[in-house]
Amino acid sequence: MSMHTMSLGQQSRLLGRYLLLMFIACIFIFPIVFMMMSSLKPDFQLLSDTASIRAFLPVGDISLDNYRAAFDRAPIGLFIFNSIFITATTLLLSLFLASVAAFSFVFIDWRGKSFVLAIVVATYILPFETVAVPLLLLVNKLPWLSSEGVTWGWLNSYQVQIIPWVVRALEIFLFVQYFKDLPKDLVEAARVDGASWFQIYYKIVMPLSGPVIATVAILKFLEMYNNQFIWPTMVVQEEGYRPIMVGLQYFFQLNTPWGEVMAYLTIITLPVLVFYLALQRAFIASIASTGVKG
Amino acid sequence: MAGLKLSGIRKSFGKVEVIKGIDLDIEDGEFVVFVGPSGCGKSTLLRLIAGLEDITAGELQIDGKVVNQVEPKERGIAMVFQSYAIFPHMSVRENMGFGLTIRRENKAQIKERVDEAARMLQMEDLLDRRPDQLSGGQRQRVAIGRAVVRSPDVFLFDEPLSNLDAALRMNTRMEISELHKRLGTTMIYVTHDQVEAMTLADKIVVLKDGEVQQYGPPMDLYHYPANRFVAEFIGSPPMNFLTAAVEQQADGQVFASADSIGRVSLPEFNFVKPATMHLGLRPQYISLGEGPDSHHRFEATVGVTERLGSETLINLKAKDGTKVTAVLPEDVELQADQTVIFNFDVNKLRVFAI
Repeated sequence: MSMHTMSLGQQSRLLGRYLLLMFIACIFIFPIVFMMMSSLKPDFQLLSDTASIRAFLPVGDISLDNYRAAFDRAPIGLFIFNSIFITATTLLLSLFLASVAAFSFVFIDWRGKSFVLAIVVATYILPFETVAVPLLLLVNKLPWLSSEGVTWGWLNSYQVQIIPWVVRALEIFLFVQYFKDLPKDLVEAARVDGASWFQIYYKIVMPLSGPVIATVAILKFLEMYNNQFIWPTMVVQEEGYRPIMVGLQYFFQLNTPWGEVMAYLTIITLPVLVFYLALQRAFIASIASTGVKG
Repeated sequence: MAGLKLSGIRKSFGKVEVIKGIDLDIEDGEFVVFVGPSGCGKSTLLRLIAGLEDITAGELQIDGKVVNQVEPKERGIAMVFQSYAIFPHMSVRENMGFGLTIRRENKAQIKERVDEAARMLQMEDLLDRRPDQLSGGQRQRVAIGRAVVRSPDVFLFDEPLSNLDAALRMNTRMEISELHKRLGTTMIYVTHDQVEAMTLADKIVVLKDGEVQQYGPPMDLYHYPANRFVAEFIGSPPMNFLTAAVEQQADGQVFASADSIGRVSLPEFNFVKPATMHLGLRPQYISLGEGPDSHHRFEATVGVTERLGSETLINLKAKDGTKVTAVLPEDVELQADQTVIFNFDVNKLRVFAI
């Protein structure tokens, strides 16, 4: 409908709707603006600015000193590399294994599959904290094949931060729900045409699963990049394998340098924004099509 | 090229048996149509042949080999789905070549065979399009093309025309028929539409509740339906049924007495014992007036008249109130509620047990 044909009432309703949306957008954007602006200010000004609108504006004594200090305090580059490496590896393994499992649950007939799926989904209700200690005891005794031959115990490594997180019930469940809605005829047509199960998986099903891949990728990214704190704290003592969230602890000391905290948070937020913007379109499409909210 | 032999085929889903022991011989090169109302098991039977469902009991042979445990891709079949099942992320050319690509045939050969099939189906200009740029009829063509490219031993069609509009349906029907003539390959075709069955089939299998009601050439089913179900299902409008008492006279002649049309002799009927039975009479065999002397006459009141252009359907009410449909010439003029004499050839009457 063009503006010309709108009545006054319709126009004011539209205006009201936009104002509401802008207000909601501000609620989401202000903390990020606050973080970025504060990272540029010395601590005393940062704290006094919080009382006014100045908290969201680049005013006063603006510099990059906090960034310099933050880099001096912690090996930020290493932490970001660790987090991105752990996240990317987990993400790729997760997309592959969860989708293969879901493919089998949906398209292949085998005895007891609905029972197994029910068990897998049921594990979703277990919070990680309940399995953390048994898991720690387990990974402490597992073998690993490296250039030094077989070693025992996974503590202080990348794999201890990756493998336990690769497949969780939610990813399998999301893929299962999406696959169920794909037309079964496509799979059957491919079978009749001679495709093996694996060919059906990668030539037919996965190319049609863009939205759910994006959803799982984003959820997994956020889980791995933003929320890895308790587990790495338990299993990693060496600085070399620490992820960003553990790195944040370097800044919380007797006198917390808030400006540096804000600088650190700004730096580690950038990869999230880049990742989200890259997948934004697919993510929105998948929420619209699957009804799954992130 | 291959024939099929089904022996005692059964299929259950859980406790529900949907295919209840089917025996069929399909000869090499035949066009066989499975027809029946929805839920009769015709699609399931096709899927059993395709290998998309496991056979619960019985034996399926394709080209003399038992294939119960053989994967669909090893059965030498190609299938056209009701939904067309065109891969939305591939071009028409990729769709048609899919089966060959999967088998790692060389690219030049794939191109050649896709081009050839496209020429045969007159769809060369569609090859580079994406499926979402195609109309329903074009998608249908792609689906058929994909099957043709693979040069299978047996073609399976699962209600391929049901999503097309009437005009396109008739066209495509003829094209499928021509395709069969040209390729000479065994084709099995599932439909609920008796017109498709009649026009396409060398032989029709009428199914009901997972059992074969009758198997034979279309005109055999039309003229000599094995039971009332087949009689009703094949032919349009459906056959009229009249309740009658059947008995044999001292001279051996068999007669049926119906309140609706009176006493009729049944020259072709082998008598068993007196019983109440159904007489079946196709609407096409009823004519207006007294007719030749050998014909039987009856009186009926004219009800609704439906003019189809080439012919006219008249709904009649016989003396006892039984409804009878007659197909009369296009120019017939009858007033509603008028009582008129009609006639039919007694040799066209069919008799069915109740």
